[in-house]
Amino acid sequence: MNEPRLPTGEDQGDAWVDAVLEPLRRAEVRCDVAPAVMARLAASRWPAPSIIRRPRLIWASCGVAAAVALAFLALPLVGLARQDGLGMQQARGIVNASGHLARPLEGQLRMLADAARAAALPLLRAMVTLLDAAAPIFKSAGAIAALTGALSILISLYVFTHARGTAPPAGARGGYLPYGGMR
Amino acid sequence: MASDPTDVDLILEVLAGRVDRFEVLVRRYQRLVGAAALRMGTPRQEVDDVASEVFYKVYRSLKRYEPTHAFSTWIYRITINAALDRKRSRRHDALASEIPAGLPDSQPSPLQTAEEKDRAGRLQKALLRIPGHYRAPLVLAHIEGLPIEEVARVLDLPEGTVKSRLFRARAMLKEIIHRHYPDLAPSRTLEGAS
Repeated sequence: MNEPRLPTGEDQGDAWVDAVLEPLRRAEVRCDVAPAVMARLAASRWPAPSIIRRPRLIWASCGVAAAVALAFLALPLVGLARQDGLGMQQARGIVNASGHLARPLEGQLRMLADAARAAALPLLRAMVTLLDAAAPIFKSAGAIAALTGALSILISLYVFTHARGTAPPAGARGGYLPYGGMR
Repeated sequence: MASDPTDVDLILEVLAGRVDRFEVLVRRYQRLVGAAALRMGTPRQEVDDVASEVFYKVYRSLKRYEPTHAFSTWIYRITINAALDRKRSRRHDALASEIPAGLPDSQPSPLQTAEEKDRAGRLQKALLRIPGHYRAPLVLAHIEGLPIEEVARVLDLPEGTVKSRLFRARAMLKEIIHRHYPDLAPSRTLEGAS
């Protein structure tokens, strides 16, 4: 389409344009889409745009699921902490030493934390807005990730059970020794 | 006799779960949506699709409607955007010749009707030569008859921008009519009146 050159003359005014466009203004348009729209709404089974915001429930349940997953991942750490092995003792030593170092710098660290919080809050708000806008994409990505995770667990379970069934019994003669040796 | 429910009443009913009440809103605004889509350059055979899409979008985002502005303003905005999006995704210019502009309200003779349809069709083609962001204020102000402040709200633009786009759109229309469709120009008395 060739974009028309803009004339440099004066505006032609409302009356001229009104007169030119009169036939379009008088034209009646037949449009009856109500049955199709209602059928589409019924077929798509979209939930009513209820005032109770279901997406919030979905987000909350996702958060709970994430917390449970995190707790599940943290369980081995708790187990390690309870055993109080060498690694835990070293970690505790590092934490204590860091605490001693941080104590004289407490004021500065607090100021730094306040500054970081002040800088992070607008960023967080922007991120929430972005999340809200891109919610459908994140939902799809989340569903795919959840599906992949579930698939991965199923494959792991299959491999594990299959390996247990075919693994040589512990201590059996003729098995492989650690570090490549042969019994 | 009970008066018709207002748009806001209907919206609240739909939001409360009475989805069937949305049909009243659709019936109330389908001609407006269809006409606006057609005048924005949607081919006649696609107007129903665009209108369906518009109402589907309206339904999905109904809770975001703010009653501070008229429902018609909001629905105009969605329609204009849908028509422009459709125009961007498909180049309709080649189809412009297929656009009949509907039938006039009165009952003219078949010859008059044919002439009217032909004239409206060519006007529609002339309008399609104007870029969408200039055509939208022209259609809203001069065909739909909205005041400038309403056009500004529909297009989410400052009134000054709408006025300047209208100025340019009118000038473009004049240029197009004179260059390509001189017979569509109004009589001299009207032209002189401007």
